[in-house]
Amino acid sequence: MAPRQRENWGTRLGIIFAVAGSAVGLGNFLRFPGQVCQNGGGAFMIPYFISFLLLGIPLCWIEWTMGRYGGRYAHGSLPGIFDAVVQRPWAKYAGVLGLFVPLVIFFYYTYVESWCLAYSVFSLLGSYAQIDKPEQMQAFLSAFQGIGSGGKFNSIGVAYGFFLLTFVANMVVIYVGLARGIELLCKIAIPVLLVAGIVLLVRILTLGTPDPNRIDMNITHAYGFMWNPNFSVLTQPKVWLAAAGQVFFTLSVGLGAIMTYASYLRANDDVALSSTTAASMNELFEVIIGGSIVIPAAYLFLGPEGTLEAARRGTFDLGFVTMPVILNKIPFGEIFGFYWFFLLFLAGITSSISLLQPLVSFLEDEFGWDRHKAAIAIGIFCFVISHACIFGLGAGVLDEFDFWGGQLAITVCALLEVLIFLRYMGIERGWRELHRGADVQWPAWLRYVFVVTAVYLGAIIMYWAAFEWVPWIMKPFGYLVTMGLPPHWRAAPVQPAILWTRAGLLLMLLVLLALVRLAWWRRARRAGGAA
Amino acid sequence: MTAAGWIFLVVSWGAILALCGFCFWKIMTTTRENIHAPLDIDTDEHDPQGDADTRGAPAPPQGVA
Repeated sequence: MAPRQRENWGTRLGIIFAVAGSAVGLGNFLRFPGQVCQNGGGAFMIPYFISFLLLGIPLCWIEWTMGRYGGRYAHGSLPGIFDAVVQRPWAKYAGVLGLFVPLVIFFYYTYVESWCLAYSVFSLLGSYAQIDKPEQMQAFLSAFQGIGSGGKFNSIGVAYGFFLLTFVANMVVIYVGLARGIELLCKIAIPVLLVAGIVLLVRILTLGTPDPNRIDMNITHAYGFMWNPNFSVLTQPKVWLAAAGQVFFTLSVGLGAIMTYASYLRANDDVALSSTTAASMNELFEVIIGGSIVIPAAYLFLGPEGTLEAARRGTFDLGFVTMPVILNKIPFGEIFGFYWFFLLFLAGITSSISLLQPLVSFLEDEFGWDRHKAAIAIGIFCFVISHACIFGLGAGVLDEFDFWGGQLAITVCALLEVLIFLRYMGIERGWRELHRGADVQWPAWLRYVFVVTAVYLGAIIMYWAAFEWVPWIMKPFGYLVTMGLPPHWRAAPVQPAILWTRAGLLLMLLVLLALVRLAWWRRARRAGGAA
Repeated sequence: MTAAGWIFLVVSWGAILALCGFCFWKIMTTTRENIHAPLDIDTDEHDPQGDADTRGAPAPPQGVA
Protein backbone atom coordinates (compact mmCIF):
# COMPACT_ATOMS: atom_id res chain seq x y z
CA MET A 1 0.00 0.00 0.00
CA ALA A 2 1.41 3.38 -0.98
CA PRO A 3 2.16 5.68 1.94
CA ARG A 4 -0.65 8.13 2.54
CA GLN A 5 0.05 11.76 1.80
CA ARG A 6 0.20 13.94 4.89
CA GLU A 7 -0.48 17.64 4.80
CA ASN A 8 2.20 20.25 5.41
CA TRP A 9 2.31 23.77 6.76
CA GLY A 10 2.55 26.41 4.02
CA THR A 11 4.95 28.71 5.87
CA ARG A 12 7.03 28.74 9.00
CA LEU A 13 5.11 31.67 10.46
CA GLY A 14 1.97 29.64 9.80
CA ILE A 15 2.78 26.95 12.37
CA ILE A 16 4.17 29.49 14.86
CA PHE A 17 0.95 31.51 14.66
CA ALA A 18 -1.14 28.33 14.81
CA VAL A 19 0.61 27.13 17.99
CA ALA A 20 0.49 30.62 19.49
CA GLY A 21 -3.20 30.78 18.55
CA SER A 22 -3.77 27.47 20.27
CA ALA A 23 -2.11 28.79 23.43
CA VAL A 24 -3.65 32.27 23.45
CA GLY A 25 -7.14 31.84 24.82
CA LEU A 26 -9.58 33.28 27.31
CA GLY A 27 -7.17 32.46 30.15
CA ASN A 28 -4.60 34.96 28.83
CA PHE A 29 -7.02 37.87 29.14
CA LEU A 30 -9.14 36.78 32.10
CA ARG A 31 -7.41 34.19 34.27
CA PHE A 32 -3.89 35.65 34.33
CA PRO A 33 -4.75 39.16 35.57
CA GLY A 34 -7.02 37.67 38.24
CA GLN A 35 -4.22 35.43 39.45
CA VAL A 36 -1.73 38.32 39.59
CA CYS A 37 -3.88 40.61 41.70
CA GLN A 38 -4.85 37.79 44.08
CA ASN A 39 -1.31 36.49 44.53
CA GLY A 40 0.97 39.33 45.42
CA GLY A 41 0.86 41.64 42.37
CA GLY A 42 4.28 42.07 40.79
CA ALA A 43 5.79 39.55 43.22
CA PHE A 44 3.68 36.87 41.50
CA MET A 45 5.87 37.33 38.43
CA ILE A 46 8.84 35.75 40.26
CA PRO A 47 7.26 32.27 40.56
CA TYR A 48 5.53 32.87 37.23
CA PHE A 49 8.78 33.39 35.29
CA ILE A 50 10.52 30.57 37.17
CA SER A 51 7.65 28.26 36.19
CA PHE A 52 7.79 29.52 32.62
CA LEU A 53 11.49 28.65 32.38
CA LEU A 54 11.39 25.34 34.26
CA LEU A 55 7.98 24.06 33.20
CA GLY A 56 6.54 25.98 30.27
CA ILE A 57 9.44 26.21 27.82
CA PRO A 58 10.71 22.63 28.40
CA LEU A 59 7.20 21.20 27.94
CA CYS A 60 6.88 23.12 24.67
CA TRP A 61 10.27 21.82 23.52
CA ILE A 62 9.25 18.26 24.39
CA GLU A 63 5.91 18.51 22.56
CA TRP A 64 7.38 20.05 19.41
CA THR A 65 10.25 17.55 19.37
CA MET A 66 8.13 14.46 19.94
CA GLY A 67 5.47 15.72 17.54
CA ARG A 68 7.91 16.22 14.68
CA TYR A 69 9.48 12.84 15.49
CA GLY A 70 6.08 11.12 15.30
CA GLY A 71 5.34 12.88 12.03
CA ARG A 72 8.37 11.20 10.48
CA TYR A 73 6.54 7.91 10.97
CA ALA A 74 3.26 9.34 9.67
CA HIS A 75 1.75 9.66 13.17
CA GLY A 76 0.13 12.92 14.17
CA SER A 77 -1.77 12.01 17.33
CA LEU A 78 -0.53 10.91 20.72
CA PRO A 79 -1.25 7.15 20.42
CA GLY A 80 0.92 6.93 17.30
CA ILE A 81 3.58 9.35 18.55
CA PHE A 82 3.97 7.49 21.86
CA ASP A 83 4.07 4.21 19.93
CA ALA A 84 6.84 5.52 17.67
CA VAL A 85 8.90 6.86 20.59
CA VAL A 86 8.35 4.07 23.13
CA GLN A 87 8.00 1.05 20.82
CA ARG A 88 6.04 -0.91 23.40
CA PRO A 89 2.45 -2.13 23.04
CA TRP A 90 1.17 -0.16 26.06
CA ALA A 91 2.34 3.21 24.75
CA LYS A 92 -0.44 3.65 22.21
CA TYR A 93 -3.04 3.11 24.95
CA ALA A 94 -1.36 5.71 27.16
CA GLY A 95 -1.54 8.07 24.21
CA VAL A 96 -5.32 7.87 24.21
CA LEU A 97 -5.23 10.74 26.71
CA GLY A 98 -4.09 12.92 23.81
CA LEU A 99 -7.45 12.25 22.15
CA PHE A 100 -9.60 12.30 25.28
CA VAL A 101 -8.37 15.65 26.63
CA PRO A 102 -8.89 17.84 23.54
CA LEU A 103 -12.22 16.20 22.80
CA VAL A 104 -13.61 16.79 26.30
CA ILE A 105 -12.38 20.38 26.36
CA PHE A 106 -13.83 21.05 22.91
CA PHE A 107 -17.31 19.97 24.08
CA TYR A 108 -17.60 22.97 26.39
CA TYR A 109 -15.00 25.38 25.05
CA THR A 110 -16.97 26.04 21.86
CA TYR A 111 -20.01 26.95 23.92
CA VAL A 112 -18.04 29.41 26.05
CA GLU A 113 -16.47 30.78 22.86
CA SER A 114 -19.96 31.36 21.44
CA TRP A 115 -20.79 33.57 24.45
CA CYS A 116 -17.94 35.87 23.36
CA LEU A 117 -19.36 36.10 19.85
CA ALA A 118 -22.85 36.74 21.26
CA TYR A 119 -21.63 39.45 23.62
CA SER A 120 -19.69 41.19 20.84
CA VAL A 121 -22.96 41.41 18.87
CA PHE A 122 -24.95 42.43 21.99
CA SER A 123 -22.43 45.19 22.58
CA LEU A 124 -22.82 46.61 19.09
CA LEU A 125 -26.62 46.39 19.35
CA GLY A 126 -26.61 48.00 22.80
CA SER A 127 -28.45 45.01 24.30
CA TYR A 128 -26.95 45.54 27.75
CA ALA A 129 -26.16 49.25 27.42
CA GLN A 130 -28.56 50.20 30.24
CA ILE A 131 -27.00 47.82 32.77
CA ASP A 132 -24.67 49.50 35.24
CA LYS A 133 -24.58 47.05 38.15
CA PRO A 134 -22.76 43.69 38.29
CA GLU A 135 -25.83 41.99 39.83
CA GLN A 136 -27.99 43.03 36.87
CA MET A 137 -25.30 41.88 34.48
CA GLN A 138 -25.16 38.52 36.26
CA ALA A 139 -28.93 38.19 35.78
CA PHE A 140 -28.52 39.09 32.09
CA LEU A 141 -25.84 36.38 31.70
CA SER A 142 -27.89 33.74 33.54
CA ALA A 143 -30.96 34.48 31.44
CA PHE A 144 -28.87 34.29 28.27
CA GLN A 145 -27.49 30.92 29.36
CA GLY A 146 -30.98 29.67 30.09
CA ILE A 147 -30.28 29.05 33.77
CA GLY A 148 -31.97 32.13 35.15
CA SER A 149 -35.23 33.92 34.59
CA GLY A 150 -35.94 37.51 33.72
CA GLY A 151 -33.91 39.92 31.65
CA LYS A 152 -34.05 40.05 27.88
CA PHE A 153 -34.11 36.34 27.28
CA ASN A 154 -36.99 33.94 27.81
CA SER A 155 -35.13 30.83 26.74
CA ILE A 156 -31.75 29.46 25.77
CA GLY A 157 -32.61 30.00 22.08
CA VAL A 158 -30.30 32.96 21.42
CA ALA A 159 -27.37 31.26 23.14
CA TYR A 160 -28.04 28.11 21.15
CA GLY A 161 -28.10 30.10 17.89
CA PHE A 162 -24.69 31.61 18.63
CA PHE A 163 -23.39 28.18 19.58
CA LEU A 164 -24.49 26.85 16.18
CA LEU A 165 -22.72 29.71 14.41
CA THR A 166 -19.52 29.16 16.39
CA PHE A 167 -19.63 25.42 15.95
CA VAL A 168 -20.10 25.68 12.18
CA ALA A 169 -17.24 28.21 11.97
CA ASN A 170 -14.95 25.76 13.77
CA MET A 171 -15.98 22.86 11.57
CA VAL A 172 -15.52 24.82 8.34
CA VAL A 173 -11.94 25.67 9.29
CA ILE A 174 -11.19 22.06 10.16
CA TYR A 175 -12.92 20.76 7.04
CA VAL A 176 -10.97 23.06 4.71
CA GLY A 177 -7.59 21.77 5.86
CA LEU A 178 -4.34 22.51 7.58
CA ALA A 179 -2.77 25.19 5.40
CA ARG A 180 -5.93 26.64 3.86
CA GLY A 181 -8.00 26.43 7.05
CA ILE A 182 -6.08 26.48 10.33
CA GLU A 183 -2.99 28.27 9.04
CA LEU A 184 -4.91 30.90 7.10
CA LEU A 185 -7.23 31.64 10.02
CA CYS A 186 -4.34 31.98 12.49
CA LYS A 187 -2.32 34.18 10.15
CA ILE A 188 -5.27 36.57 10.03
CA ALA A 189 -6.51 36.19 13.62
CA ILE A 190 -3.23 36.62 15.49
CA PRO A 191 -2.33 40.04 13.99
CA VAL A 192 -5.96 41.18 14.40
CA LEU A 193 -5.85 39.97 18.00
CA LEU A 194 -2.65 41.92 18.58
CA VAL A 195 -4.05 45.14 17.08
CA ALA A 196 -7.38 44.82 18.95
CA GLY A 197 -5.47 44.16 22.18
CA ILE A 198 -3.24 47.19 21.69
CA VAL A 199 -6.26 49.41 20.91
CA LEU A 200 -7.93 48.32 24.16
CA LEU A 201 -4.71 48.72 26.10
CA VAL A 202 -4.27 52.29 24.83
CA ARG A 203 -7.93 53.05 25.65
CA ILE A 204 -7.47 51.84 29.24
CA LEU A 205 -4.20 53.75 29.59
CA THR A 206 -5.85 56.99 28.47
CA LEU A 207 -8.82 56.73 30.85
CA GLY A 208 -6.98 58.87 33.41
CA THR A 209 -9.33 59.49 36.35
CA PRO A 210 -12.85 58.57 35.18
CA ASP A 211 -14.57 59.75 38.38
CA PRO A 212 -13.38 63.26 39.37
CA ASN A 213 -14.78 62.67 42.87
CA ARG A 214 -12.49 59.69 43.36
CA ILE A 215 -9.06 60.96 42.40
CA ASP A 216 -7.44 57.93 44.04
CA MET A 217 -9.05 55.71 41.38
CA ASN A 218 -6.72 56.76 38.57
CA ILE A 219 -4.75 54.80 36.01
CA THR A 220 -1.44 55.02 37.91
CA HIS A 221 -3.02 53.54 41.02
CA ALA A 222 -4.78 50.95 38.85
CA TYR A 223 -1.45 49.75 37.50
CA GLY A 224 -0.03 49.94 41.00
CA PHE A 225 -2.82 47.64 42.21
CA MET A 226 -1.77 45.16 39.54
CA TRP A 227 2.01 45.48 39.80
CA ASN A 228 3.04 46.69 43.27
CA PRO A 229 4.76 43.63 44.74
CA ASN A 230 3.78 42.03 48.02
CA PHE A 231 6.83 39.88 48.77
CA SER A 232 5.32 38.27 51.85
CA VAL A 233 3.17 35.99 49.66
CA LEU A 234 6.26 34.28 48.25
CA THR A 235 6.47 32.12 51.36
CA GLN A 236 3.01 30.66 50.61
CA PRO A 237 3.03 27.42 48.55
CA LYS A 238 -0.38 28.29 47.05
CA VAL A 239 1.15 31.27 45.25
CA TRP A 240 3.83 29.10 43.64
CA LEU A 241 1.19 26.54 42.68
CA ALA A 242 -1.01 29.25 41.21
CA ALA A 243 1.92 30.49 39.11
CA ALA A 244 2.83 26.98 37.94
CA GLY A 245 -0.82 26.28 37.13
CA GLN A 246 -1.17 29.50 35.17
CA VAL A 247 1.95 28.78 33.10
CA PHE A 248 0.89 25.19 32.53
CA PHE A 249 -2.66 25.96 31.42
CA THR A 250 -1.79 28.98 29.31
CA LEU A 251 0.64 27.19 26.99
CA SER A 252 -1.79 24.51 25.75
CA VAL A 253 0.59 21.72 26.74
CA GLY A 254 -0.70 18.27 27.67
CA LEU A 255 -3.45 18.50 25.05
CA GLY A 256 -1.66 16.80 22.21
CA ALA A 257 -2.47 19.80 19.99
CA ILE A 258 1.09 21.10 19.74
CA MET A 259 2.38 17.61 18.99
CA THR A 260 -0.16 17.21 16.22
CA TYR A 261 0.73 20.58 14.71
CA ALA A 262 4.46 19.76 14.92
CA SER A 263 3.90 16.38 13.26
CA TYR A 264 3.16 18.19 10.00
CA LEU A 265 6.70 19.60 9.94
CA ARG A 266 9.44 18.05 7.87
CA ALA A 267 12.20 16.04 9.53
CA ASN A 268 14.71 18.89 9.37
CA ASP A 269 12.42 21.82 10.00
CA ASP A 270 13.38 23.90 13.00
CA VAL A 271 11.55 23.29 16.26
CA ALA A 272 14.00 24.75 18.81
CA LEU A 273 13.40 28.34 17.75
CA SER A 274 9.81 28.00 16.55
CA SER A 275 8.63 26.48 19.83
CA THR A 276 10.26 29.24 21.87
CA THR A 277 8.83 31.89 19.55
CA ALA A 278 5.29 30.55 19.92
CA ALA A 279 5.67 30.40 23.72
CA SER A 280 7.05 33.95 23.86
CA MET A 281 4.14 35.21 21.73
CA ASN A 282 1.75 33.66 24.20
CA GLU A 283 3.52 35.52 27.01
CA LEU A 284 3.26 38.78 25.09
CA PHE A 285 -0.51 38.35 24.84
CA GLU A 286 -0.78 37.26 28.45
CA VAL A 287 1.49 39.54 30.46
CA ILE A 288 1.58 42.70 28.35
CA ILE A 289 -1.91 42.79 26.83
CA GLY A 290 -3.92 40.52 29.12
CA GLY A 291 -2.35 42.04 32.23
CA SER A 292 -3.16 45.59 31.14
CA ILE A 293 -6.86 45.46 30.40
CA VAL A 294 -9.24 43.79 32.84
CA ILE A 295 -7.79 44.54 36.27
CA PRO A 296 -6.71 48.16 35.64
CA ALA A 297 -10.13 48.84 34.03
CA ALA A 298 -11.95 47.22 36.94
CA TYR A 299 -9.92 49.22 39.46
CA LEU A 300 -10.82 52.52 37.80
CA PHE A 301 -14.55 51.90 38.25
CA LEU A 302 -14.85 49.46 41.15
CA GLY A 303 -11.92 50.42 43.36
CA PRO A 304 -9.52 47.98 45.04
CA GLU A 305 -12.11 45.99 47.05
CA GLY A 306 -14.53 45.66 44.15
CA THR A 307 -11.76 44.54 41.81
CA LEU A 308 -10.44 41.94 44.22
CA GLU A 309 -13.95 40.64 44.80
CA ALA A 310 -14.58 40.39 41.03
CA ALA A 311 -11.28 38.51 40.57
CA ARG A 312 -12.20 36.10 43.38
CA ARG A 313 -15.53 35.32 41.74
CA GLY A 314 -13.60 33.80 38.87
CA THR A 315 -12.63 34.06 35.25
CA PHE A 316 -16.09 34.05 33.70
CA ASP A 317 -17.40 36.62 36.12
CA LEU A 318 -14.53 38.94 35.30
CA GLY A 319 -15.10 38.61 31.56
CA PHE A 320 -18.87 38.43 31.23
CA VAL A 321 -20.10 40.38 34.24
CA THR A 322 -17.48 42.89 35.37
CA MET A 323 -16.08 43.95 32.00
CA PRO A 324 -19.41 44.69 30.26
CA VAL A 325 -20.48 46.88 33.18
CA ILE A 326 -17.16 48.75 33.06
CA LEU A 327 -17.20 49.17 29.30
CA ASN A 328 -20.72 50.61 29.54
CA LYS A 329 -19.27 53.45 31.58
CA ILE A 330 -16.67 54.66 29.09
CA PRO A 331 -17.32 56.76 25.97
CA PHE A 332 -17.99 54.62 22.88
CA GLY A 333 -18.47 51.68 25.21
CA GLU A 334 -20.41 49.80 22.52
CA ILE A 335 -17.43 49.85 20.18
CA PHE A 336 -14.92 48.90 22.85
CA GLY A 337 -17.27 46.23 24.15
CA PHE A 338 -17.40 44.78 20.66
CA TYR A 339 -13.59 44.95 20.45
CA TRP A 340 -13.22 43.22 23.81
CA PHE A 341 -15.57 40.32 23.14
CA PHE A 342 -14.49 39.86 19.55
CA LEU A 343 -10.90 39.71 20.82
CA LEU A 344 -11.96 36.95 23.21
CA PHE A 345 -13.81 35.19 20.40
CA LEU A 346 -10.74 35.24 18.14
CA ALA A 347 -8.58 33.97 21.00
CA GLY A 348 -11.14 31.23 21.55
CA ILE A 349 -11.54 30.03 17.99
CA THR A 350 -7.80 29.76 17.35
CA SER A 351 -7.68 27.54 20.44
CA SER A 352 -10.76 25.43 19.73
CA ILE A 353 -9.70 24.46 16.21
CA SER A 354 -6.45 23.15 17.65
CA LEU A 355 -8.50 20.86 19.91
CA LEU A 356 -10.05 19.10 16.93
CA GLN A 357 -6.88 18.55 14.92
CA PRO A 358 -5.53 15.62 17.04
CA LEU A 359 -8.77 13.70 16.38
CA VAL A 360 -8.69 14.51 12.67
CA SER A 361 -5.08 13.44 12.52
CA PHE A 362 -5.87 10.19 14.38
CA LEU A 363 -8.57 9.19 11.90
CA GLU A 364 -6.43 10.23 8.93
CA ASP A 365 -3.19 8.60 10.03
CA GLU A 366 -4.40 5.48 11.79
CA PHE A 367 -7.57 4.68 9.83
CA GLY A 368 -6.62 6.15 6.45
CA TRP A 369 -9.69 8.40 6.29
CA ASP A 370 -9.53 11.60 4.28
CA ARG A 371 -9.80 14.92 6.10
CA HIS A 372 -13.33 15.69 4.95
CA LYS A 373 -14.70 12.37 6.16
CA ALA A 374 -12.83 12.69 9.46
CA ALA A 375 -14.02 16.28 9.98
CA ILE A 376 -17.66 15.36 9.36
CA ALA A 377 -17.55 12.33 11.67
CA ILE A 378 -15.90 14.31 14.48
CA GLY A 379 -18.26 17.22 13.88
CA ILE A 380 -21.35 15.07 14.30
CA PHE A 381 -19.98 13.41 17.43
CA CYS A 382 -18.92 16.70 19.03
CA PHE A 383 -22.20 18.38 18.11
CA VAL A 384 -24.21 15.69 19.88
CA ILE A 385 -22.10 15.58 23.05
CA SER A 386 -21.80 19.38 23.31
CA HIS A 387 -25.53 19.47 24.11
CA ALA A 388 -24.76 17.94 27.49
CA CYS A 389 -22.73 21.06 28.36
CA ILE A 390 -25.29 23.47 26.88
CA PHE A 391 -28.35 22.07 28.58
CA GLY A 392 -26.57 20.72 31.66
CA LEU A 393 -24.81 23.99 32.52
CA GLY A 394 -26.98 24.65 35.54
CA ALA A 395 -26.53 21.07 36.76
CA GLY A 396 -22.73 21.39 36.75
CA VAL A 397 -22.04 19.22 33.68
CA LEU A 398 -19.71 21.81 32.14
CA ASP A 399 -17.71 22.03 35.37
CA GLU A 400 -17.44 18.25 35.44
CA PHE A 401 -16.12 18.17 31.85
CA ASP A 402 -13.66 20.91 32.75
CA PHE A 403 -12.43 19.01 35.80
CA TRP A 404 -11.85 15.65 34.09
CA GLY A 405 -10.55 16.96 30.78
CA GLY A 406 -9.21 20.42 31.46
CA GLN A 407 -7.60 19.80 34.85
CA LEU A 408 -6.97 16.17 35.68
CA ALA A 409 -6.35 14.30 32.41
CA ILE A 410 -4.43 17.18 30.81
CA THR A 411 -1.93 17.31 33.67
CA VAL A 412 -1.49 13.54 33.78
CA CYS A 413 -0.99 13.55 30.01
CA ALA A 414 1.71 16.23 30.29
CA LEU A 415 3.51 14.23 32.98
CA LEU A 416 3.36 11.14 30.77
CA GLU A 417 4.89 13.11 27.90
CA VAL A 418 7.80 14.27 30.04
CA LEU A 419 8.42 10.81 31.50
CA ILE A 420 8.27 9.13 28.09
CA PHE A 421 10.58 11.76 26.64
CA LEU A 422 13.11 11.24 29.45
CA ARG A 423 12.87 7.45 29.59
CA TYR A 424 12.52 6.45 25.95
CA MET A 425 14.04 9.32 24.00
CA GLY A 426 16.57 10.21 26.67
CA ILE A 427 18.14 13.54 27.51
CA GLU A 428 21.02 13.33 25.02
CA ARG A 429 19.05 11.99 22.08
CA GLY A 430 16.10 14.22 22.91
CA TRP A 431 18.36 17.27 22.97
CA ARG A 432 19.85 16.29 19.59
CA GLU A 433 16.37 15.70 18.22
CA LEU A 434 15.30 19.16 19.45
CA HIS A 435 18.25 20.71 17.62
CA ARG A 436 17.91 18.75 14.39
CA GLY A 437 17.74 21.44 11.69
CA ALA A 438 17.49 24.10 14.41
CA ASP A 439 17.98 27.77 13.68
CA VAL A 440 19.20 28.41 17.19
CA GLN A 441 21.49 26.44 19.46
CA TRP A 442 20.46 26.65 23.09
CA PRO A 443 23.26 26.15 25.67
CA ALA A 444 23.93 22.42 26.15
CA TRP A 445 23.63 22.55 29.94
CA LEU A 446 19.96 23.45 29.50
CA ARG A 447 19.23 19.83 28.50
CA TYR A 448 19.10 18.86 32.19
CA VAL A 449 16.14 21.16 32.68
CA PHE A 450 13.88 18.30 31.52
CA VAL A 451 14.64 16.42 34.75
CA VAL A 452 13.68 19.48 36.78
CA THR A 453 10.49 19.76 34.73
CA ALA A 454 9.52 16.17 35.53
CA VAL A 455 10.11 16.66 39.26
CA TYR A 456 8.35 20.04 39.28
CA LEU A 457 5.31 18.69 37.44
CA GLY A 458 5.20 15.56 39.58
CA ALA A 459 5.24 17.64 42.78
CA ILE A 460 2.46 19.90 41.50
CA ILE A 461 0.34 16.91 40.51
CA MET A 462 0.73 15.33 43.94
CA TYR A 463 -0.43 18.54 45.60
CA TRP A 464 -3.38 19.01 43.26
CA ALA A 465 -4.34 15.35 43.61
CA ALA A 466 -4.40 15.56 47.40
CA PHE A 467 -6.07 18.94 47.86
CA GLU A 468 -8.20 19.46 44.76
CA TRP A 469 -8.79 16.32 42.73
CA VAL A 470 -9.62 13.84 45.50
CA PRO A 471 -12.15 16.16 47.19
CA TRP A 472 -13.81 16.82 43.82
CA ILE A 473 -13.96 13.15 42.90
CA MET A 474 -15.24 12.14 46.32
CA LYS A 475 -18.09 14.65 46.43
CA PRO A 476 -20.83 12.16 45.40
CA PHE A 477 -19.39 9.44 47.60
CA GLY A 478 -19.38 11.78 50.57
CA TYR A 479 -23.11 12.07 50.10
CA LEU A 480 -23.55 8.29 49.99
CA VAL A 481 -21.47 7.85 53.14
CA THR A 482 -23.39 10.48 55.09
CA MET A 483 -26.88 9.43 54.00
CA GLY A 484 -27.62 7.63 57.27
CA LEU A 485 -26.54 10.56 59.44
CA PRO A 486 -28.77 13.29 60.84
CA PRO A 487 -29.73 15.86 58.18
CA HIS A 488 -27.41 18.61 59.45
CA TRP A 489 -24.39 16.28 59.12
CA ARG A 490 -25.14 15.08 55.63
CA ALA A 491 -23.12 16.16 52.62
CA ALA A 492 -25.02 18.01 49.90
CA PRO A 493 -26.93 15.62 47.65
CA VAL A 494 -25.23 14.99 44.36
CA GLN A 495 -27.14 15.64 41.17
CA PRO A 496 -27.72 12.61 38.95
CA ALA A 497 -26.37 14.65 36.01
CA ILE A 498 -22.91 14.55 37.60
CA LEU A 499 -22.90 10.76 37.88
CA TRP A 500 -24.21 10.39 34.32
CA THR A 501 -21.50 12.76 33.10
CA ARG A 502 -18.80 10.69 34.77
CA ALA A 503 -20.24 7.50 33.33
CA GLY A 504 -20.37 9.11 29.89
CA LEU A 505 -16.78 10.29 30.08
CA LEU A 506 -15.62 6.84 31.19
CA LEU A 507 -17.51 5.29 28.29
CA MET A 508 -15.90 7.76 25.88
CA LEU A 509 -12.45 6.86 27.20
CA LEU A 510 -13.20 3.17 26.68
CA VAL A 511 -14.43 3.81 23.13
CA LEU A 512 -11.25 5.73 22.32
CA LEU A 513 -9.16 2.86 23.73
CA ALA A 514 -11.13 0.44 21.56
CA LEU A 515 -10.53 2.65 18.50
CA VAL A 516 -6.80 2.62 19.18
CA ARG A 517 -6.90 -1.16 19.54
CA LEU A 518 -8.85 -1.46 16.30
CA ALA A 519 -6.47 0.85 14.41
CA TRP A 520 -3.39 -1.18 15.40
CA TRP A 521 -5.17 -4.46 14.74
CA ARG A 522 -5.99 -3.28 11.21
CA ARG A 523 -2.42 -2.11 10.77
CA ALA A 524 -1.08 -5.50 11.90
CA ARG A 525 -3.47 -7.29 9.55
CA ARG A 526 -2.39 -5.10 6.63
CA ALA A 527 1.28 -5.67 7.44
CA GLY A 528 0.62 -9.44 7.64
CA GLY A 529 -1.21 -9.36 4.33
CA ALA A 530 1.55 -7.40 2.65
CA ALA A 531 4.16 -9.84 3.91
CA MET B 1 2.37 52.90 41.85
CA THR B 2 5.52 52.34 43.86
CA ALA B 3 9.05 52.21 42.49
CA ALA B 4 9.05 48.45 43.05
CA GLY B 5 5.83 48.18 41.02
CA TRP B 6 7.45 50.07 38.15
CA ILE B 7 10.51 47.83 38.34
CA PHE B 8 8.40 44.67 38.15
CA LEU B 9 6.33 46.04 35.28
CA VAL B 10 9.34 47.20 33.26
CA VAL B 11 11.38 44.04 33.90
CA SER B 12 8.45 41.74 33.08
CA TRP B 13 7.48 43.56 29.91
CA GLY B 14 11.14 44.00 28.96
CA ALA B 15 11.96 40.30 29.40
CA ILE B 16 9.03 39.22 27.26
CA LEU B 17 9.63 41.81 24.57
CA ALA B 18 13.33 40.89 24.50
CA LEU B 19 12.57 37.17 24.15
CA CYS B 20 9.94 37.83 21.47
CA GLY B 21 12.21 40.26 19.66
CA PHE B 22 15.16 37.85 19.75
CA CYS B 23 13.04 34.97 18.40
CA PHE B 24 11.55 36.98 15.55
CA TRP B 25 14.92 38.54 14.74
CA LYS B 26 16.41 35.04 14.45
CA ILE B 27 13.51 33.87 12.30
CA MET B 28 13.67 36.86 9.97
CA THR B 29 17.44 36.72 9.56
CA THR B 30 17.65 32.97 9.00
CA THR B 31 18.54 32.26 5.42
CA ARG B 32 16.56 29.05 5.07
CA GLU B 33 13.78 29.10 2.55
CA ASN B 34 10.67 30.30 4.29
CA ILE B 35 8.18 28.36 2.23
CA HIS B 36 8.51 24.69 3.04
CA ALA B 37 6.26 23.22 0.45
CA PRO B 38 3.60 24.22 -1.99
CA LEU B 39 0.20 23.39 -0.62
CA ASP B 40 -1.22 19.92 -0.96
CA ILE B 41 1.75 18.07 -2.38
CA ASP B 42 3.07 14.80 -1.07
CA THR B 43 5.43 15.63 1.75
CA ASP B 44 5.43 12.22 3.35
CA GLU B 45 8.67 11.77 5.24
CA HIS B 46 10.22 8.63 6.55
CA ASP B 47 13.23 8.32 8.72
CA PRO B 48 16.30 8.19 6.50
CA GLN B 49 18.43 5.07 6.84
CA GLY B 50 21.57 7.03 7.58
CA ASP B 51 20.05 9.09 10.33
CA ALA B 52 22.53 9.23 13.19
CA ASP B 53 19.84 9.67 15.80
CA THR B 54 17.88 6.56 14.95
CA ARG B 55 20.63 4.41 13.46
CA GLY B 56 20.75 1.08 15.17
CA ALA B 57 17.41 1.61 16.86
CA PRO B 58 14.65 -0.84 16.03
CA ALA B 59 12.14 0.37 13.50
CA PRO B 60 8.99 1.78 15.03
CA PRO B 61 6.30 -0.85 15.36
CA GLN B 62 3.96 -1.12 12.45
CA GLY B 63 1.90 -4.03 13.58
CA VAL B 64 2.24 -4.33 17.32
CA ALA B 65 -1.15 -5.02 18.76
